[in-house]
Amino acid sequence: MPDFLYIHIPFCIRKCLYCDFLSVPYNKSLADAYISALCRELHLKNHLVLRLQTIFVGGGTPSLLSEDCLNQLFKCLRTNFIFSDNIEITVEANPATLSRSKIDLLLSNGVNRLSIGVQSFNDTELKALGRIHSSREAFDSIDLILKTGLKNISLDLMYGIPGQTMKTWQESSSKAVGLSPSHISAYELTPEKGTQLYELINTSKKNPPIPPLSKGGEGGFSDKIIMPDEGLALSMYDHAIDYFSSCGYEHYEISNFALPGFRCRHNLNYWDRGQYIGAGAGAHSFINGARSKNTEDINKYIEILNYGTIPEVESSIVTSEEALKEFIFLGLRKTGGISIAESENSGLDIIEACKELIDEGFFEVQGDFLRLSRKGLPVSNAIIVKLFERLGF
Amino acid sequence: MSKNIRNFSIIAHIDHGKSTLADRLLEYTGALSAREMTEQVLDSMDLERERGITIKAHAVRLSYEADDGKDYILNLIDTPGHVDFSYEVSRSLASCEGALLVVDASQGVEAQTLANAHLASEHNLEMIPVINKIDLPSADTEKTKEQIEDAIGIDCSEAVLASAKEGIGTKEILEAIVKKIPPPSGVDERPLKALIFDSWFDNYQGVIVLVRVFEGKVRAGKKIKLMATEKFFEVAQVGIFTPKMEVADELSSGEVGYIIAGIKSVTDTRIGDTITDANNPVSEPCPGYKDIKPMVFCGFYPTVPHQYENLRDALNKLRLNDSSFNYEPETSIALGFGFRCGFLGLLHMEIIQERLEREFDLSLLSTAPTVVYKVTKTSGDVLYIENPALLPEKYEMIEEPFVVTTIFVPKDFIGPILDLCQEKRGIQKSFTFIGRDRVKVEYELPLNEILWDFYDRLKSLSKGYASMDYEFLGYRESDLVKLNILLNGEVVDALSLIVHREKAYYKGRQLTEKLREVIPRQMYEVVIQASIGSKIIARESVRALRKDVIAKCYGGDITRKRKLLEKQKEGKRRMKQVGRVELPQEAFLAVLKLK
Repeated sequence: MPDFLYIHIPFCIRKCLYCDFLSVPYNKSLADAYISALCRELHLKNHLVLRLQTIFVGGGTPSLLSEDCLNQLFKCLRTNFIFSDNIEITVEANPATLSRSKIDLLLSNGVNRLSIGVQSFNDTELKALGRIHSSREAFDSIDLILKTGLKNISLDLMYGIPGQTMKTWQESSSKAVGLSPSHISAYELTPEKGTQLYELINTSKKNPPIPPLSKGGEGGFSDKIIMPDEGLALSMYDHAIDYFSSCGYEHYEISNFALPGFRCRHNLNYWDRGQYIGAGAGAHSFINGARSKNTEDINKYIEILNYGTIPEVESSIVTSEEALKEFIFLGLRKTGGISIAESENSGLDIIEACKELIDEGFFEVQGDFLRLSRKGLPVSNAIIVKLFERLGF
Repeated sequence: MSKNIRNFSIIAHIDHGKSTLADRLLEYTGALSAREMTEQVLDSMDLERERGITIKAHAVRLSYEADDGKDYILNLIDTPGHVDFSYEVSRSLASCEGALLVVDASQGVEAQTLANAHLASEHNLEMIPVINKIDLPSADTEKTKEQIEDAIGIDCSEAVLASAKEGIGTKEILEAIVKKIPPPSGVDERPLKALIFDSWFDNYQGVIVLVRVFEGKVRAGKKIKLMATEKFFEVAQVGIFTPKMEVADELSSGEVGYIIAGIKSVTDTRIGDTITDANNPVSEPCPGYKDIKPMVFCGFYPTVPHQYENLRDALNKLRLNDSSFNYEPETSIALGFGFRCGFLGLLHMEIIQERLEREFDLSLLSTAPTVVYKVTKTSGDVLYIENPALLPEKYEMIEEPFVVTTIFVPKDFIGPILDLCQEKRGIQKSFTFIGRDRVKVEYELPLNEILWDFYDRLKSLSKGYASMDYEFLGYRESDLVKLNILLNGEVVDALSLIVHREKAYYKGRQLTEKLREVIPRQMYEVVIQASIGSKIIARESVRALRKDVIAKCYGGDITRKRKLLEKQKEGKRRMKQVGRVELPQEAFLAVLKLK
């Protein structure tokens, strides 16, 4: 059964320059209508679930919702689903959107994991990303959370930010570790097509320097945007692995680190090809071998649910070859890798296909597991594509 | 008794309006109603129309009642408009008594105008100057006439002023054809003597041969002999194109039409060959027959090995229709199994490649085009090298083909053009003013040097005004060396080229730089070297790919990530694996981009 539930809250105060997730500016009446629609969707899908193992409320900025909305959402979850005893309930939050009372409200509703979008502890970099908070506010928010005694806190960090240096990255990493979170995600900033950042980089490539993006220090790049070069970004990644590991965090996925016992169960389910239910605009589900997606149009989403139907717009059965591909590329995101026995059971002669890549040091075999090596991780796409080729996909 | 027949061609520089004029003549004489007219009917292949070039010669019979009250049969024999096909042009012209010399009133005389006019006067054709596009604001009819008189030496006092596009001057042209072009002079009672000026393969009827009958008659049932190939056939059908195919009882002297005789392959029906009576042959064939040989060669390889059979079938099918290109299987260490193909010129090569890809849905990799080198070994044996990779280590002498190139250019641009010819190892043979502000220069140049970018550079140096034409001269000894390209220490045979020794260092450096630009980064460093013999003369490297990873993968959108990887894999499929290095098609053509 898909006992993993993702809930999408598509509201933000302002969209960050690099963001390619679904989000629109927060507006109270729209948010109220949205939560009502969301509750209807959860009701329509409650029969799919036996006992929830994880809930992940992501965004957007879920912490932006009013206390009424949050209460309504959690009440709805409790009425429609049975929670397993050791359920993991994560809510994403951004610094400067958290008050003591909102934190208390989340915790009293059973939330036991907060994922904080810190990104950087350097104010220039935060501005460059178009974040709304300062490093001071990040410290304050985390301080508030720590005071509640919550143990499972995850911090998101970014490297490869324009203007970032090895020194500022080291500082941000050590400040993060200094707050003793149970989990750290360290992503390389990737300018995705369609984001403001992507456009800005392209324009500044064409006719540098670009004019200031916005007035009054509201954020954005006031100068030419130069992404850190590949070598630097790579060293930053190396630093993350070495440094967080040395502080006791296990590097368990390409971009994720956790103290023992604190890996994110919800995300591990994706990489293990487990089933899950998505609720909310643009949310994805994987149920009974089919991957589907809700409409990204928030108004349409609300309207469809007013009629009492599922707001799905795309759905496709995963073919057996696609399933094998997913098994490989999702599984290899985990540093533990994929089970050789399981691969062979699926008819993949994986060791034979990887032979050269193992000899060249991109893969390692440990017991029953085939995993990307330290050398292989940063070029995993190229390697996986090569592996697909060898396997005749 | 002379017949009321006129056989003529239209000769023109590319884009001077030949095809449009042909359309007008067809329309005016009622060969096709306006409704039936698809524009430019004579260019029937899509490719020809797209490129605005006539590749295949066709012949159309027009019926025209002239002002003198008599009915005339006018046979319009279309000619290819590109220098690659000049032999075919000469055979079409040999089938006529006259030609319309069409010159664009805004462009004036160009190199092909001149080349074709020379061909026409070699065949003693009556030339009727037609000044076309007089409706254009930039038209200058007086200057154009002056240029024609200067450069070609024909009287323009009675030149027809026309605009094929607007239908101006069509009747005047038809009258001039009737009045000025002499009627054919053959005798029906003599033994058959017919010149083949085109042929193609038809799936239902076999080879269809277009002929001009000079002497005698031909009809169904007649036994014929093809003189050059010494093959015998029995005629099944004769007829004409109006432009629709129409069966006729017979074709007699002076007439133009088709013959179908159960012929299976166009290799039997060589252009320029003579058809005669099998039982009563003429003693002398029509003059001017040549066994034409391809001038430019390149290798075609399927990007995926399983398309090899399909490629061979496709080449075989194209060859049925085009005896001027040939192919032979070859094997490359780098590229595997493929074919070495020979063409009349670069355009011919591009057309064939495009047809293979378009009509047969093949994904091809072509190696850089090369000319044929003549190598005399120390033993005295002579080799013709069509593939640089096959140049032996030791030899006595190497010779390369030379051409004489005629360039027409406004005098303001002459300086840079002379520099270009110099750079390309040219030897100036003549320098003549045509009118007040145009210059004609003739250079002897190695064919190899004008093969790729020469024409483009000529055009860009002259803001598009220069035009050129060339003619094969012969082989001459040159100081040539083989330049090898090595990837990670291994010679890639498909990238080898033969260059002049003085340019070898420069080209080696440029080629390695170009390759560095086009070879994508891979999981290992790729070292690119150029060498002459065992001596490395240039080195570049493509750094290993260091970072290629999806940083963030959650939120449940797995399909998008999978598609991202599939797309990446698709991109790789178009590359050719050479050893451990993946090469895109651009790598094999990088040599074309050398200055």
